[in-house]
Amino acid sequence: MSLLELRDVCKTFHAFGREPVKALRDINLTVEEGTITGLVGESGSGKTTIIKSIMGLEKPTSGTITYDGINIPEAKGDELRRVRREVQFVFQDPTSSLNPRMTVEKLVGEGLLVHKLETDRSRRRARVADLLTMVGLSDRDLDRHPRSFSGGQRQRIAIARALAIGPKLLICDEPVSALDVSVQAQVLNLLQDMQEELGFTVLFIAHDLAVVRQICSRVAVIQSGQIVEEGPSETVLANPTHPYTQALLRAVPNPNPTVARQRAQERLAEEKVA
Amino acid sequence: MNTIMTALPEQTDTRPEVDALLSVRNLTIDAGTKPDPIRLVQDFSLDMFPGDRVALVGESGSGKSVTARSIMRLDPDFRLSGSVRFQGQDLLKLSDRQMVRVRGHKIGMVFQDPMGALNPLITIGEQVMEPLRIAGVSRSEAERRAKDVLDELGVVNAAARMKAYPHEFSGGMRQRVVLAMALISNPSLIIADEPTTALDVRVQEQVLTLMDKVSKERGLAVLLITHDLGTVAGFTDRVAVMYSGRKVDEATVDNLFEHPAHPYTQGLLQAVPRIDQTVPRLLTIAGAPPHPAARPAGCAFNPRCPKAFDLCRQEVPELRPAPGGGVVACHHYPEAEAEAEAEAGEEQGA
Repeated sequence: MSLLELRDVCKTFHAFGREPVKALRDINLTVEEGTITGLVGESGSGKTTIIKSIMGLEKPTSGTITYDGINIPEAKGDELRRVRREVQFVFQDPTSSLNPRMTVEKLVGEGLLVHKLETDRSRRRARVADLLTMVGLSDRDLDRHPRSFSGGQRQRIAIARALAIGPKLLICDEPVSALDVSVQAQVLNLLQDMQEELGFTVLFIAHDLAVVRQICSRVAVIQSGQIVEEGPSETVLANPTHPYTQALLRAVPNPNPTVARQRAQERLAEEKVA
Repeated sequence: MNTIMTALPEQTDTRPEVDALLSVRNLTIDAGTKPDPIRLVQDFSLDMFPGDRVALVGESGSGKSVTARSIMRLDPDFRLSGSVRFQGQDLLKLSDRQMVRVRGHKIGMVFQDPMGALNPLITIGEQVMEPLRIAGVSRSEAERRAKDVLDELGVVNAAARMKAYPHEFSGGMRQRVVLAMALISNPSLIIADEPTTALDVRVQEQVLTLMDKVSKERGLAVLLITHDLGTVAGFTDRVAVMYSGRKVDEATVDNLFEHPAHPYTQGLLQAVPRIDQTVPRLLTIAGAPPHPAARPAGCAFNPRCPKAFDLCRQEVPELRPAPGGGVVACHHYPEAEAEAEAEAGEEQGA
């Protein structure tokens, strides 16, 4: 069953005295319930516009965005509150997505308070402590501020914050690309574990195809506002049919010196021909 | 005898040190105010020969960028000790004025963020010509050479585009401009600090191919600072791994990837998701790197190391020859040291 569905979504930005920019052109994207779906594209491809449209921050020029039967651009009142509660986000840079003046307790517990899921302060504190343990932090961290954590720990806080109110859909916008290599794997494993344990659905936006291959069951590739290829990530990444996907895959640096050197040779040869 | 013994572990190949283009010895970098300075880098040594391509790999806070910047003496607030010999001259002993003639002339530098490295109010052409103009080259000559180097780097219609401003260029094009600035005075060494990190994969590929081509054609030595092991694999001959301010591992690129010696290097290689294979679960390195002001006793990696034993928590391991060649700073390789000692002893006897 699909949880999130984008149908023929178009978005055109008009700027005074310039050609209008068609940021999204007939986007069709389905996120099946209980899966991790990847959305891959370079900067300027329209990934952010898609996220903003799902958040209700941008209204599509045409087309529908349906979350569990609710058309997001038209939603108001109770429906909108339900979307706000059930769809949560994890952003790229935890340093800027977490308010530096709030303690971890407040950051993670904010959603519980806003959505009136746990209004009692001490019970809320206990819930937050549980969440912290779940993401690999501890109840000793409750009164600390984001600045006293490392990048990877901050991203764990951001994940705990997103999971606090039991979302059905988690939208992760490049959640590991700002992290160090040794920490990136920890956060990816955490996301994967949480998803298996709690069964929520994930839309995973990334530019790193190796990361997508590791954690996504399906993947959609977006280029200049259009989805050019979509399917199970094993199939798409093993046998890409669209030239753009092929080019993206070829550009991924391979951490095998023999293969990588061969690729470098090929590229130099191509360069000479061109 | 003793001098040989101390020199040996630092050296990763047999080429004589006198031929080295860049020879860094025991570079130690302190920052912060006097009573409690923070030691950012400790006893860093590295040799680069003409045309060498060496990667300096590490995570944020490992000291890799600080090391690169200190070779050029870019941060006046850091206190440096040790020596940085470039073409036989110790850069740490030069006056600030003499240093200006090295920076951008004999050693070129490429930074991560091309927008931050370019002045938005000055045309591309002026910025590319700047090193030559400082060196006293005439405007017409400088313009000609700027056009040539931009042509070489694949900037189409270079003469016209020299009049453009940085914001009119895309990320990849800006990085070409920064590369042109680094190359225009024909340096023999380029220090590139994460030159492709801020770029999209395909642009990353283009910029790397370009650096590959230019460095091969010009016989240019490149010191590539990066955290991306994928980039390292295709571009460099030799890799030095830094952890918490020290060089902990150095090997040829093939050896490093096939038989990583240091447990940290092993962990890094396993933690990277690969496009050519999937695993049920990524292997991780538990914990996070220490703050430079609060390193654990002994080996800085010991709290995260699956193989740590008592000695690791007490003593900082010295760099020693690693079994597969190269050097490694890990208490798990005392055998290699013993072997090397035996060999040195034999040679002495013969």
